[in-house]
Amino acid sequence: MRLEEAEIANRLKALLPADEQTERGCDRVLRRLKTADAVDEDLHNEQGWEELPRSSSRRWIALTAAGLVLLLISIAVFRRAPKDEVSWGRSAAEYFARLSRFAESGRTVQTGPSNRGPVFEVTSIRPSGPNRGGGRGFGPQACGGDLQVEPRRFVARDVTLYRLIALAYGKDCIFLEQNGELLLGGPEWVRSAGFVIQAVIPSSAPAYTRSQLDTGTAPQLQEMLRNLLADRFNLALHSEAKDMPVYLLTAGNGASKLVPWKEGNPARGFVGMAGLGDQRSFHIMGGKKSMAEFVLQLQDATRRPVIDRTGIAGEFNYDLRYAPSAGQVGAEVDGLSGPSLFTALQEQLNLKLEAARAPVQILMIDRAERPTEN
Amino acid sequence: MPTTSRMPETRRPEFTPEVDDLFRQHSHFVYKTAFVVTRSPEDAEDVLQTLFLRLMRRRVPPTFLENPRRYLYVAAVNLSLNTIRSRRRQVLIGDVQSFDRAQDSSSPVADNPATQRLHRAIATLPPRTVEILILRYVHDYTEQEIARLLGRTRGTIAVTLFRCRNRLRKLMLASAHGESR
Repeated sequence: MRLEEAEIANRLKALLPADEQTERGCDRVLRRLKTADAVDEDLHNEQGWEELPRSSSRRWIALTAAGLVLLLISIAVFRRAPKDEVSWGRSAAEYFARLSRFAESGRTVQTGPSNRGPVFEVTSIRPSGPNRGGGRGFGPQACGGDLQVEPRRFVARDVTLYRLIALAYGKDCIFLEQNGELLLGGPEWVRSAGFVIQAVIPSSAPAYTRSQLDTGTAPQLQEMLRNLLADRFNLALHSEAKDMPVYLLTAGNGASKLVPWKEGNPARGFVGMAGLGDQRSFHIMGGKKSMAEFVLQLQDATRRPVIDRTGIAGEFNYDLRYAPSAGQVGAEVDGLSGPSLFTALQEQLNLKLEAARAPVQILMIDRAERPTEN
Repeated sequence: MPTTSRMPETRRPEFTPEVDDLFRQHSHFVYKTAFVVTRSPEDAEDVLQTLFLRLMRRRVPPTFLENPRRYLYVAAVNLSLNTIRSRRRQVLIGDVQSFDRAQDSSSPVADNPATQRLHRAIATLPPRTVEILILRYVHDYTEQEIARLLGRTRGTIAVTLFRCRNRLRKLMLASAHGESR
C-alpha cells in the first residue's frame, strides 16, 4: 500500500465537518459559554467523568446522577430530622406525599437553625479526595477548587474553608492569601483541607450568578453560606481593625490622564504580561472601569490593600505598563521593561501611589471544626 | 506595545467582549481541528468549550497573549488526543468488545476501512506530530505557515512531516495486516 501526501490529505479532509455543522456546534458552545455558571466545569479535570458538564447524552447522565444524589441526600435529611422523622420502610407513602407537597409548594425544608436569615434547603458536605486542589484552581492552593452557582443549586468542589469564608464575607480569596494578614487564625487544615459541598438554594432566593458570588454581590447567598459555616463547621470569627502597610492612591497635580469610557469602547479588564521580546511589560488594563475596580486591580498587582483617596468618579479606559518590583505580582519574571508601578501611575495616569500604614478591617477565626456528618 | 489586549480578567469566568472576539476569530478553526481528531461532534464541542472556559478563567499561560491562535490550536489537538485516548481506555475497562462500536458510533461519516485505519494511526502519533499533520493536510497550511504558527523552523516541520508519513504508512500497513488475520 502506498500512501501519498494527496491520499492522506483527501482522507483527512473527508473527516472535516460540513460548514453548517461547524456553525451549529460553535453556536451551541457559544450559548453555553454565555451562561457559563451553569456549565462551569473543566472537561479534563482530575475528578473523572462525573464532572463533565457536557452536551447531549453525557450531560443528561450527569444531571440524572446529580438528581439521584440530591434525592438520596434528601432521604438522609428527612430520616435524620429530629421531629418529623420519616422512615423509608414504614412510612414510604408519607415520605412521597411529603416530597410531592414540597415539590408543589416550594416550601423551605430546614436542616439546621433557621432563625438567622436565609439558609440552604438541603446541604451535603464531604471531604475531598486526595487529589484535590493543586493545579486546578488559578492561584494559591487555599483558593483552589471549583464553584457552580445555579438558581437553585450551589456546588463547591475541592474548596477549603478559607475560600468559603472569603466567599461568605465577600472577599477576594487570592488577594487574602497573597496578602496573608487579612484573614488570620484557625487550625492549619482551614487552608489545606478540601471539601465538596452541594446545597439546594430556596426558590424564594434571588437567582445569583457565580460572578456575583465571586465579587461579593450576592448578599442572600453569602448569608446562607455564613449560616452553613456556622452550623456545620461551627465557625466563629470576628472582625477587627489592624494597623498594617497599605497604599494610598491620590490624584496628582493637574488634570487626570484617565481616558473617560465612551459608548462603543470595549469593557475589559486584565492584569498580566503582554508584549513581545524586549518590549514585554506588566499591564493593568481596563475598559469601562470605575476607580473602585481599578483599586481592586492595583490590590491584586501589589498584594497590599489600596485605599482610594482620589475622589475621581466615572468609568475609564486605561493601559498602565510597568515593570513589577519585589513583592509585586510578576516580579519573578525576568526581562520585563518599563518604569516602576509608582512612576508609571504618575506618568501615565497622573495618580500617586504612596506607601503608608492605616487601620484595615481584618477577619480573625476564633473557632473552626471539621464539619459534622451529613 | 502589547500584542493584544484581548484577555479576560483573572478568576472572573465572564464571557467578556474580548472572549467573544477570540471566539469569533478562532472557534471554527478549533472546532474543525477537534472534530477531525475525535470524529465526534459532542467531543469537538467539549474541547472548544473547555478551552474557552479556561480562557475565561485565565487558566492560560502568560505567553497566550503573544499568539492566541497557537495556544488554542495546540491545546485543541492535545485535548482531542486525550479525549480519544481516554475514550479508548474507558471502553477497554468497561467492555472490550464495544471498543470499535464506541470508536465509530459518533463518526460523522461512514469511513472506508483505509480512512478508519488512518484515523486510528493518528491516535498513536505524538501530539507535536499531529499538530503539524492536521495543519498541513486538513487546514492546508504551507510548511512555512506551520513553522510561523508553531514557532518552529521550516526544516523541523519538513522532517516531521516526512517521518510522519513513513510512520503512518507502517501503522496503516500493520493495522490492515491485523484486520486481515
